[in-house]
Amino acid sequence: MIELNVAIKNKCYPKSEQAVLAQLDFTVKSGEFVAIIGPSGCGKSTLLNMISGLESCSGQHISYNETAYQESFANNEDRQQLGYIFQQPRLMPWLTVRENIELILQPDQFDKVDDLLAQVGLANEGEYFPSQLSGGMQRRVSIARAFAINPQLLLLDEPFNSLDAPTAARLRQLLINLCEQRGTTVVFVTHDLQEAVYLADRIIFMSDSPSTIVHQSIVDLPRPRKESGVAELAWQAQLLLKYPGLLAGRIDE
Amino acid sequence: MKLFAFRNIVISKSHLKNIPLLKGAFTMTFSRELFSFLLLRLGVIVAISALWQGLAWLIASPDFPSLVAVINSVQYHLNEGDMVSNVLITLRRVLLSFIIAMLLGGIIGIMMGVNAWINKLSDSLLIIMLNIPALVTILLCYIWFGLVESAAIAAVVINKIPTVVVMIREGARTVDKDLLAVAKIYQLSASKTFFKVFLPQLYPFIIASARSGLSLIWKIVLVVELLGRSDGVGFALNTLFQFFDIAGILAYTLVFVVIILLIEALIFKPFDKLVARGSRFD
Repeated sequence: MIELNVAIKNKCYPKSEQAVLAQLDFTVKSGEFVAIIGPSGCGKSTLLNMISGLESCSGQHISYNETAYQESFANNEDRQQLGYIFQQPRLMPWLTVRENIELILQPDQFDKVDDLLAQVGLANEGEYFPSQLSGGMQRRVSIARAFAINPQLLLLDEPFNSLDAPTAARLRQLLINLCEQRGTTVVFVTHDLQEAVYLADRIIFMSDSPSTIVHQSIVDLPRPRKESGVAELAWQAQLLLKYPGLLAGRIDE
Repeated sequence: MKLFAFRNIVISKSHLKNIPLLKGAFTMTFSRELFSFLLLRLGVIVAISALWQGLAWLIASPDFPSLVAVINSVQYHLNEGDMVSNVLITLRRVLLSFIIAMLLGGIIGIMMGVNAWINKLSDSLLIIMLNIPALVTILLCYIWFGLVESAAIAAVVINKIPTVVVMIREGARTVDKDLLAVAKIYQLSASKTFFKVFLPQLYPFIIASARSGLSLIWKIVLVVELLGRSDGVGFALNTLFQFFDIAGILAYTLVFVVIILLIEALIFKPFDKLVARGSRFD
């Protein structure tokens, strides 16, 4: 299992002097579900892109299990350990649902595609093209794709953003089930506190850009949780009463 | 529905439908849509033929032979045997230079579209190549390499490559980086990334350049043949021109146009549908 260490200092956008991430130090324990909340434009996606290796990390320290993460990511033999669910489903429109998942697998793993599709409730949609599916279904395909490689570390970038509330709720439930089954380590970026409280073991609050960590809370609510349960809402209210500016990235006591 | 039967091999509609790759081509090839499309085409062709025949009667000049005279001439040249061999020779040149030009143009276009540095380096060369007259390239190729087959092919290829490059480059520039990021995250091999993620985004551009390419190439091939080959349609046209055999010239043109139309209908159309896979599905 994976433990993730992040220590970022003064990360700038390419070709820019302005730092987007000022200082971020945190550790995600193996099997932990961490949500990151921050105002828009605070560099949440940049953070995920750096963890995933899509964006350069030169001069920064990101490691997992105390091995330099970037190195292992590039050279490791069994390197397929990272899943990334993007804001948009990012499916290949010219491939069917099944082919989209098979794309990232080796031929000897193709037999597990049926299982995966059944798990996300798309058992009968394997031969459809993404354009024939609803937004929620496309999202489910992208979730199935991410879990197809049995990721040890899963990154999610506001994956349920533009969905209607019931669909988003169903997908959150699906995500929790899949992660609990496999003990996946998760970093989940969102701007929705309620969603974070429902899903996460711990929430990290980021400030405006150039961002730092302003606060961390452990969500000590028992599971299974409810989307708008009394305890969950009370937990949120308490937190926001204490730090009213938290969601805007400020901590004014 | 039985589509194909040979001895005891029977292929039915349901068989074909189960092959996912064929689905696109299948629905196009056998749909009512295609039928009405063909009917429309046929109508247009009949109308043009009627107009031609009528005009020829009205004008009644040896410089403007009627359709019937041209068809008679086609028959005559077919019987003589020169037409079949000339057309085949020209077709071979067309296909050969088409394949080479598409491959080279595609590779150069992708490189220029993906890499800004290569693009900057070769952009002005591309503009120059685009604007050198076809005739100049042909003459230079013949002078430098001699009156040989490879010089003829090279001349056609050099004429065609720049237009392929321009189109493919445009496609490679607009490739969706988000999808490439997916390929990177899930560690797809280079060949998988190229063939399953990158190349499908270029298909519309490849098809467009293939279409315009075929028509341009066969025109250039005729000029090349006229200037420095002793066989092929271009050579035959030159001979016919010296005898002022206008019906013969039109006969060759007619045959070649029919062949190009067939290539369009039999190769490009079904391929079109395959390429549009998943984008607009009915």
